[in-house]
Amino acid sequence: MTLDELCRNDGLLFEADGIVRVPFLVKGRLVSPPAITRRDAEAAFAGADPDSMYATVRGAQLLRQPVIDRADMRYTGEYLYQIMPAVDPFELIETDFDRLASGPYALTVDEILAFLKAMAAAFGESWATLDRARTIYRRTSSLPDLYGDAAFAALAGGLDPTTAAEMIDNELGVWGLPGRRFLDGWVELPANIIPGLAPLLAQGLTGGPRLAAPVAAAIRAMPTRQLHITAGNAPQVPIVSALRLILTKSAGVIKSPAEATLPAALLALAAASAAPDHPLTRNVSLVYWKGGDEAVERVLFAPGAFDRIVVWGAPDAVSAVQARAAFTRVIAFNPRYGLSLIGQEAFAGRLAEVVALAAQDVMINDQKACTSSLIQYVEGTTAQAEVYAAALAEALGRWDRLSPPFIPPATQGQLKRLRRGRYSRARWLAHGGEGDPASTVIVTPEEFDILAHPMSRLVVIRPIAQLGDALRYLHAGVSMVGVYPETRRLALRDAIAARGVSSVLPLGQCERLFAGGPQDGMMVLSELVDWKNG
Amino acid sequence: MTPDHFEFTPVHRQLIKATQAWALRLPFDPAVARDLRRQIILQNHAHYLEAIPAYRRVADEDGIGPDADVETIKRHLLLPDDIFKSYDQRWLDEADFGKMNAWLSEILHRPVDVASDGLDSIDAWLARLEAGGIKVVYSSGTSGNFSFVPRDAAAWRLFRAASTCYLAPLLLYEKIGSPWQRLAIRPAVRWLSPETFVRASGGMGLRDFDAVFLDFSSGRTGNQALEQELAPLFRRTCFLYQTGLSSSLLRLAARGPRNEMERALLARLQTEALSNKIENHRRVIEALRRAAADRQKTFIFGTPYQFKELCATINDLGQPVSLRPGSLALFGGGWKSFTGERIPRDELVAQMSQSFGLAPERILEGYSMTEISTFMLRCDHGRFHIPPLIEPVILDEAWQPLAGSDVRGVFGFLDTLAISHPGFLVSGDEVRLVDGDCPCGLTGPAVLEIGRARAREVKGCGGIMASVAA
Repeated sequence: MTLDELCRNDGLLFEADGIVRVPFLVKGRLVSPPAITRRDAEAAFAGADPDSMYATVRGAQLLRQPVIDRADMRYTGEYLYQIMPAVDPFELIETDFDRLASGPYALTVDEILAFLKAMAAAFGESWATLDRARTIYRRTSSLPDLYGDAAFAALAGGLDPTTAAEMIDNELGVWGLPGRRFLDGWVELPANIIPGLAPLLAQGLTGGPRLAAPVAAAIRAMPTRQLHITAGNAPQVPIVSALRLILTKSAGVIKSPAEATLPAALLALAAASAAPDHPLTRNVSLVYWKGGDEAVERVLFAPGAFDRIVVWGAPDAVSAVQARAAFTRVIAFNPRYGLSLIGQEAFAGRLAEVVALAAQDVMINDQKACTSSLIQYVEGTTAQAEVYAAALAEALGRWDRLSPPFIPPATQGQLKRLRRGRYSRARWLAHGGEGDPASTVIVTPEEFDILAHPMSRLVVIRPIAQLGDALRYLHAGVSMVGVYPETRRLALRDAIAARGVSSVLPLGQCERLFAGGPQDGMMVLSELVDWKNG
Repeated sequence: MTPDHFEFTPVHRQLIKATQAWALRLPFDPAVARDLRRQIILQNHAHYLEAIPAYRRVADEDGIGPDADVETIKRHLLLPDDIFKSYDQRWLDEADFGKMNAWLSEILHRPVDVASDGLDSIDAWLARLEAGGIKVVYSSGTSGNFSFVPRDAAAWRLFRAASTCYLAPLLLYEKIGSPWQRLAIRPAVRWLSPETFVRASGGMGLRDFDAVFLDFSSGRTGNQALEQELAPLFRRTCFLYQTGLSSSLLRLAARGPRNEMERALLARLQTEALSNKIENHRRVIEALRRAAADRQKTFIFGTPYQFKELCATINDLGQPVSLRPGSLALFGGGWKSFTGERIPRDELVAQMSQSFGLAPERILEGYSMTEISTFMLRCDHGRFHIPPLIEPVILDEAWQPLAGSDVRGVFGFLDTLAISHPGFLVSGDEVRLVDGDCPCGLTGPAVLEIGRARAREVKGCGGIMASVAA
């Protein structure tokens, strides 16, 4: 059955009367939500805080999201309700290791890549559903349309087998061998084996074992049982997480963020359509539950429930998981941000080009990504920084026209608070006006508190005497630094990296990726598998 | 309006008279009061534009001049309360009080020309400012980032006088005072000018009361400024802590000590506040008993957390105090950094009632903040009534003013008594505001519910960002 047919049969991913039914995948079983009317949904939120997004009713989970008019990018006052099944955490856990060992763990890399190809083909056959999901997503997404549309258009591309193979080979490659060798099974290595102290001492025993030639060293990248708790507001995040689980031939659970349930649902439908009996499909769950739901998390975070828990969250959230999931390796993607270093060379007739590159780095995921540039340190006088800021403001104005932003009312209030209060001494260059805000650039010689940054096309320009003065602001909370020009980047690269920054890239290239590259200081696939010594 | 010459302006005088009538439930015309209030607001606006750089900057950016109307002010010129902590924290860390003076000059209606040489602490700086005619009251957030609200001598006198003129009749209406005082207040309000009323009130005092303040014996926080004004009115006063509160120490407590000397200073504060707690409580309880034995009524003032602690000690000792009829307890200030200790209001009042032998209607609650010039008392019907001296503005998330007689949103206000600092402000509180007649007899806007405005959580791909200087 195609993805389209699966949806039509059970009324999935259609919007009717402001209701959308969203399925889960629970260990290969496509689970549809119960039938809930609009009246039931509204009643579930009766008396709740106006900002309340989540409710439950009769075996269903409900997400209520405010609708945004895409013409003027403002709330309409209406709501869209997503209806999802309830979650039984016990259904998500797997403890039959022999079944796993003979099932997904026994797959070859070629079989995984074929699985991905089948999933991508399922998407290719079902543009109607993808388009419908894209349209529904748009109704409530705070991402500008261009970004959301691009994310959905790239869904199938994210499952490209060639790229996937490169990820496996590069991230799991050790001993000069491609990673697929280790994922496919045990690999004997030409290792120089040290027998250890006890065998050597045993040579002094009468009747003790003779020191024999050791069995060849062999290692394997063993799949694991994984729980991915995604957060944030990028539709790609649950897809990337699912891809990593698949590429490591692992069993596990992907928890969607509330703002991006539809991409995971599409993946669930693709797996159920393309390969319903595949060992990977039968060992993957794509679900949602409200973060902090003790009834669910008490079970999922218990020791032994999973081998790996991937958490996207602040250190205290990560610590809370670690404290509960004893002996489980927790992999954390902490909240981080990006910034830019602009050398004096930008003022030698290259300003227009430089600000265009800088604006590009600002606009990574509409300034909501960990790598988006929030702060830009400009080497020069305050007057020069103001010239730079004016040029950047103009460049961002062009982005505003290309891709009008949604600036939520709370962010509009936040911007007023910043402009009239703590940063009233800064020079403010804002596009849009009262009730129709867009991008903003501010120039300030004073430190800026990142906690106050709205991540809504606001760039803070800080003039500094020399680029090295910005090093004091670098730490592990900074994920990305974009530098201009290239000579300065190469000169500062090690100093920047030594301070905990993960990526030091040319200005304008801070969104670039390559298969097999590190994220947040990790080769993620290598963290997800368990390296075995046999 | 020149900065250093105090008198009630004619329109202030009229508005204060109207407020006194309002407080006593005498004939009161809200429309007249509103017109008077708005005259002052527009005068203040013109004055701020001319004399307060921070205000002028905001107005200039939006192209707003001296002829703006009140609605324009509400939409475009309300400043956030963090304007009073818009300095660079490093200036305090480095004791650079020259820069602090320069910053203060931006939010005061005259340049701060007080010398900054030789100043090595916040307390020393504030003392020198006060000697130079600038009284600064501060409040400390949980992060240790202080808000400093400056008033020059004239503004301080106006604030004190107006508070006396308004609070005395409000309390004398049914909460406080001897029978003859309650009889005398109506003609006093009718016949005396506010200036004369203030002199008369100061002369009378509340000599049949002893006072207990659950606070440090001196300091410059908003509560301490209020206590210092009130203390001379009473026959005797007793403070929970017999030492003054150093602002530097308070900042240390929130931000952490950086060296051995600071650790030692902090240890002394903690000893006074924590280790000596029971001893301090015993001394306060003794003062309460002594007042009762002397047939004196008692006025107790403190934060909810301090009252809860004191009641717990009284309970542990098993010997409730029995205050004289007519005594009053007043709490306010919220739970702040003691949010984890918070108990429901009814429970707190019940504990206080039992511990002090006070009927619940003798336990008052106030709502105020360092940045506002008035104190809003909660009536017996649960409303914190806003006096006509203040025009409240309730804002939605986007800081647009909301209309209506029952609205929820962020609490902003236009303060007619703020003549030396910008008094058109947005607080960090989210409230429910109602407007109309109250069963207590007062009318007009009143706050029914108070909470902190929800902090907006910025969620990047990894969750919520932390506070980091960049």
